[in-house]
Amino acid sequence: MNNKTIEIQEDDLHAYVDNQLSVEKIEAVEALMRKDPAIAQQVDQWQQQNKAITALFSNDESLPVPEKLKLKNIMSEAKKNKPNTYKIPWFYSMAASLFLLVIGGTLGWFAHGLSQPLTKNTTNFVNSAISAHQVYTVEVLHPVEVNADKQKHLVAWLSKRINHSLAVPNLEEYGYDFLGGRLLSMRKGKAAAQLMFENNEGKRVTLLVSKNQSYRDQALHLKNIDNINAYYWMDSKVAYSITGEMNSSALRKLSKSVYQQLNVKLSAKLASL
Amino acid sequence: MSTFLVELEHCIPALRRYACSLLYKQEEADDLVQDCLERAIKKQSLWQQGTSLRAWLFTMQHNLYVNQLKKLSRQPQMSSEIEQLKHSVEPYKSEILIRDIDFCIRQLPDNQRQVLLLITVEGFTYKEVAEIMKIPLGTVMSRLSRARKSLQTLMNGETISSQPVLRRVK
Repeated sequence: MNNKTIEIQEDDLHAYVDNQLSVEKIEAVEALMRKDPAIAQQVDQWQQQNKAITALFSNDESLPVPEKLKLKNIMSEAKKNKPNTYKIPWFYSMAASLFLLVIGGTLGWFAHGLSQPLTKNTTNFVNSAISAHQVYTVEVLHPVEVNADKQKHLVAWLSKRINHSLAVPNLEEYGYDFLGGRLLSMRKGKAAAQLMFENNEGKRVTLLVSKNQSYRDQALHLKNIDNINAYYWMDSKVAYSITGEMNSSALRKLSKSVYQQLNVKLSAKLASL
Repeated sequence: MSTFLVELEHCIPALRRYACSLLYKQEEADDLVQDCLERAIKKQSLWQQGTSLRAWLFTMQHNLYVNQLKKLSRQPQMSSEIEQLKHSVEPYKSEILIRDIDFCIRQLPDNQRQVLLLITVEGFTYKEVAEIMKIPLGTVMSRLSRARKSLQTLMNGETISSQPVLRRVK
């Protein structure tokens, strides 16, 4: 009679069938099945379904794997294709990236210079974030200085150079993997760290982090230049900007996640001191 | 071979199975698996040891599938074979339960079938399925519930109503 307190929902019946139910609820479900034949029949039907489905796929494991899915073939294929990941002849991609590098760099430089007397530090900061995004995300061969596989080294190095304990947010939930990062110079000899992320389609977003910005405003702001959006905010003298070629609502999700993760990581770090 | 590759190799049949449930055609499914394996090898440093490699791979493959759909900007289409099958096969008369369930599963709407197979065949937890498919846990449960009920209806030789997968693509 101690089962009275546990209320059984339909979800619990599914979990029972799939062996995902907690022990105390298993007893409650079994008690219910004894009491209610309709429920017992329902559960039995689903169990039969499960059995039939598993049996249907049970011999899949022994099916031969086609040649193109054999790992050794995939790996030798990957080696062959390594220099041109995008399957564009290397000289085109080289030329294109150089062209964009020059254009982006020049524009960025002028925009930077022009905006200085007119705007506040944060605007300078977000402009830098956008131009750095334009310059480096088109890079095919060297998008980052240090790759994500040396993350520990990268974080230590950039943290030291920007004089702020850097944390790398995880954006895998949104389909973006961490590629790596680089050091950038800002106005008046300040340093900034650029972290780059990439999704399956090769689309990239960057996070720019720089310390000692004097402008204090914790709100999230949006800046748009052409098809590039950048969200930027300040957090105890550190400025952040997340930049990408995507609509503002998609980017806002990323920004929010970055903001939350960095706050959590920061407080975790402080707690461990 | 590294332990990563050994484990990866073990996951290939399951990845093919899941790809088939996403794409119907074995050839297209194998292309998806190939993409996934290439990517897994390239990104293997991002896999955290101690976490489930299978769940990591399934998530990756699901992402690739979703991106592929976006790229082609098309809805998951029913291949003509399946369409033919649907019209040529008589409603439930078979004596063999397994053959029958195969046919009925194919008639389930895509998202219900995927959830059902990830749970029953691959043995993922509800939470893992939510992460793989990037849907809330509640959605996993409601799709599972609908899948089981539709399957029951189909097995009884009836047709299920409001099933987008069976709508003809104009």
